[in-house]
Amino acid sequence: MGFRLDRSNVAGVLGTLAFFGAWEALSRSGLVNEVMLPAPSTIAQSGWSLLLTGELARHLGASLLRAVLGFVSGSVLAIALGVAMAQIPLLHAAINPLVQMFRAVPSLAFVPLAIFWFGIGETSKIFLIAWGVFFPVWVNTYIGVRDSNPLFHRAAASLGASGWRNFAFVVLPAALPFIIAGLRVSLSVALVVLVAAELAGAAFGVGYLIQMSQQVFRVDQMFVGLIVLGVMGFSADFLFERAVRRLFPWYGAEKESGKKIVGPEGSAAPTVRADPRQQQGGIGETA
Amino acid sequence: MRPPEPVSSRVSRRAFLALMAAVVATPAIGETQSVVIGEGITIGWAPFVVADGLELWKRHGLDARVVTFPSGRLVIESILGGSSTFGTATETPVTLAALNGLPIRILAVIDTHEVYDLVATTDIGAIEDIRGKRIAFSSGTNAQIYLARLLDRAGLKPSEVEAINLNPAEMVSGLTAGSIDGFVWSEPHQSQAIAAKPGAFHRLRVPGLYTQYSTVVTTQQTIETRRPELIAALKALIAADDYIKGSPEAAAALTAAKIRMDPGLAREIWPQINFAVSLDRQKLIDEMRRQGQWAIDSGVARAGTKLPDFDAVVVDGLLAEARQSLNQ
Repeated sequence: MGFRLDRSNVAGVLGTLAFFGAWEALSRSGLVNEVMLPAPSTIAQSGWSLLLTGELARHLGASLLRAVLGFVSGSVLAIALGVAMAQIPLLHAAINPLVQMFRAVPSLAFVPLAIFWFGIGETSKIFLIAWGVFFPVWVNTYIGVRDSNPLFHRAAASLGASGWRNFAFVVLPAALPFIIAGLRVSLSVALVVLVAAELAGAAFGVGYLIQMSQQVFRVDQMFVGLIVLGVMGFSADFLFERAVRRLFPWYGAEKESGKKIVGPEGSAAPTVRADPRQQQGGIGETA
Repeated sequence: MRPPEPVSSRVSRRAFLALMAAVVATPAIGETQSVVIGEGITIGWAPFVVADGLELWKRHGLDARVVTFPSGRLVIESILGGSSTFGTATETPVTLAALNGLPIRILAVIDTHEVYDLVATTDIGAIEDIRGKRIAFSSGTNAQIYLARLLDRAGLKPSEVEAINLNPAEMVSGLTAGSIDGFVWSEPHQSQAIAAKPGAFHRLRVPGLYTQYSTVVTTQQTIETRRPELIAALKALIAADDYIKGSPEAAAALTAAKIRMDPGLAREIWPQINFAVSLDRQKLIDEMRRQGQWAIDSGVARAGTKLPDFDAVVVDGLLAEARQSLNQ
């Protein structure tokens, strides 16, 4: 993915520079309090100081580890439960009311309880992130598996596939767009919850840096934390998209090339079109 | 043809209209000025609570809208942002704000109080025993100052203790769950922790280690543009202070109800708080300088920060004017 010097890219660069230029001018103008709205150059200086001391790297490392562990554990559990509930109607009937109730409870509400249950170590923070990640992934997985096109099942049955083969080669690939959409949304949720999770007895972390800086009126450092959080979000989404393209090359490729793409094991990958009914209660895009 | 209107009616109507014009044109006697007060919700802010409850703001010509905040730092932010006219904060967030060049000013001290103790597991018998232990505090507050002085008193370095930043509610649950070995905070959290597991935790008191100053804060700009309102507010607080001294039990009960503290606990703590609307400038400035230097030395303040002129931060003229006005 190279950077091409075309009109839209130039406009993007100029727009960004204009924004930061205006911000710098406003902060230095005396019209606003320079401490409460520090100039981008001040923020850059603070960020550089934090980088030189190694403190920023330590905060970033701690946050990344928590975010990854929370995201992975929440997603794995959510996919497993979503698939199980879609495939086993009795399980769905038994636990769906509970899951819907818990879905309404935000991670922030659990912070004091998380400390009580799991202590002030990493477990409480990972739990909070996993809680936040779980529900968008669960609901998308459930809908994707539940609403897989019956034509695919008949086609698979006519080719002799049943049981686990039907599940592995038809149901899961058909649900994949929904699952990927849920995972993508949960990526940003993980970072949002990270800040709340680092309220729970953290000594390092980007969320901790933001809160600590706010406590002592270091708004410049707060902005450093916010920018790092933004960069983390952007990078996570970029890497996620690249990973999806690599692992599932047929996903989205049909939209790009206009041709059907051969999927795994040489079989034609099912074309998944967005069904408005499948959007009900779910979040995110479809292929 | 209608009979002419009687002269008396014409005069009455004219008089009525003149009176109405006079009422509209003349400022009302004791016209109230609108203010927004940012208030904390702990027992140290009792004079504000009493002023609210007894409508003392109104009696001194203020139409007050009270907004509560869980910390002095948030009160300061609301004042700097223009949402609040004045409010409550201890000296520590004011010191940190001043270190960062923010134009916050202290008008008066409403009470002083040795507010913090260390609550710890009973195996921590003396403050020296906290070496290697996990001690919670709330960062950026005067609890951090207390902990720093406690370590100093115990002859310990900061690296010899695992200091953990927690919110007060989490300190109690953390101690009860065994995630921490102790915490530095005030009532009612101290009593809550001790009551949560009888015999497991106790208070370690170090008298004279740190005294909190509960102050009335505003900005320099507000002093310049709304001086009469601030003087009226200080008069209301002096009246509240008089009530506290004259009726301590009633004042304690009023405060406990407002901040949702157990009334028995409030009565127990009340005598420990030195209520007095006053301003010992030098003592306060010396404390702020000490805290400011600690912030610079410990890296809490930006590298290269110099101590601000705390003489300019603590403004005494308005309190003197308020007292003079009351004595007239």
